[in-house]
Amino acid sequence: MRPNIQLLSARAPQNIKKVPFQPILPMALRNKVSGKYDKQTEGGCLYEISLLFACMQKNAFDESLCSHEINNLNVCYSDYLSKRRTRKADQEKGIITPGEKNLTHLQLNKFLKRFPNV
Amino acid sequence: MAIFRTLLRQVTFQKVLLGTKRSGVISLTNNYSLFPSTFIKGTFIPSEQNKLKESGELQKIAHIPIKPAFNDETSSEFYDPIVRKFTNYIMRKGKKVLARNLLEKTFENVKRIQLEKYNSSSFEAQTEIELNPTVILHQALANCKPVLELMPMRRGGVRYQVPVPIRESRSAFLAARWIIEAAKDKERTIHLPEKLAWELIEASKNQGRAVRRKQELHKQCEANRAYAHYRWS
Repeated sequence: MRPNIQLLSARAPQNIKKVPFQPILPMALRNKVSGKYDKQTEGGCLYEISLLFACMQKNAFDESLCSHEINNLNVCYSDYLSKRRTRKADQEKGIITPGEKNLTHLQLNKFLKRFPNV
Repeated sequence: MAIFRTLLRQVTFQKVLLGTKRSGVISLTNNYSLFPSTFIKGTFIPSEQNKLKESGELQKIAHIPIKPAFNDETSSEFYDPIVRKFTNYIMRKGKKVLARNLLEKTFENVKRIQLEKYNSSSFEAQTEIELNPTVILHQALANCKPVLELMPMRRGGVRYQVPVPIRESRSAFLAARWIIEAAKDKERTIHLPEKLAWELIEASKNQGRAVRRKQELHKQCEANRAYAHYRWS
C-alpha cells in the first residue's frame, strides 16, 4: 500500500504530557492597572508655541510685534495649569460619578480594590 | 516555587501599601507656615481696605483670624510691590538695610543721569525723557521678561533642551535676576549702584546685556523648537 504523502510531510503533534504546563504567575488578572498611558489625552499649547515662533522669526525676535501671540500662549498655559490642578484635586478626593465611562487609573484601581478579580 | 513567588509578591505589595500610608502622613506636615491654614491673607493697602468696607466683605471676615503684613509692606504713597520685590532680589545674606540703601542709591543715580540728559537736551526732546526712576525700573523689568524657557528633559537616554512656556512670576524673577547679574559684572572700582543705574536705563530703552540675554534665550528656544512637543507628552 502506498503511504499517504500528506501524512508523511506533516509535522507530528507534540506529546502534551512531555512538557507539562507550569504556571509561573497566578492564572488571573491583577487587581491593578498602570497609569502609564493616561497622560496622552491631555491637551497642550503646542499650536500656540509654534505660532509664536513663526511670528518671532518674521519680526527678527522683536516681541513687541508679537504681543497677540504671547498673550494667547500665556492664556493657554494658565488655563492648562488650572485644569490640571482641578483634575488632580478631584482625583485625590476620589469623586466617582455613577455610570461614568471614562475612568482614570486611580479610580479604576479603587474599584478593583473594592471588587477584586479573584 | 510558584507559590513562593506569589507569596513574596503579596508581602512586597503590602510593604508598598505601608509606605503610601506613611508618605500620606508626611505630606500633611510639610506646611512650614507659622500660621495655621485657618488664617486668611489680609490687605494693607488703604484703597483695597475701603473696597472691602464698601462691598460689605469686611463684615464677613470680621471674626476670621488674619495673617499680619510683612514688616516692609506699608500703606505709604511711595510703596511699590515691584520695588519691594526687587529689593529682596538684590539682598544677599539677609542684609535688607544694605539692599534697600543700594536701591535708593541706584534710584538717585538714575535720577541724576536722566536729569543731566534732560537739561542738556532741546525742548522737544525733553518730553521723551523719563525722569521717574520707579517708572524706569518697571519699564526695564518689562523689557527683560522672557516668554519661554529651556528645560532639560531626558528622553531615551538623551537630554533634550525643551522650550516651555513659563509663568508670570518666574518670568518676572528671571528679568530681575538678569539685570542684577549684568550689574554685578563690573570692575572692582565701580560701585553697584552706578552700574545698576546704567543697566536699568539701558534695559528701559530695550538695550543692554539683560535684554540681549533674553533675546539669546528666545533664539535658543527657536532653535530647539523641534523638541517642543516633549513638554506635552
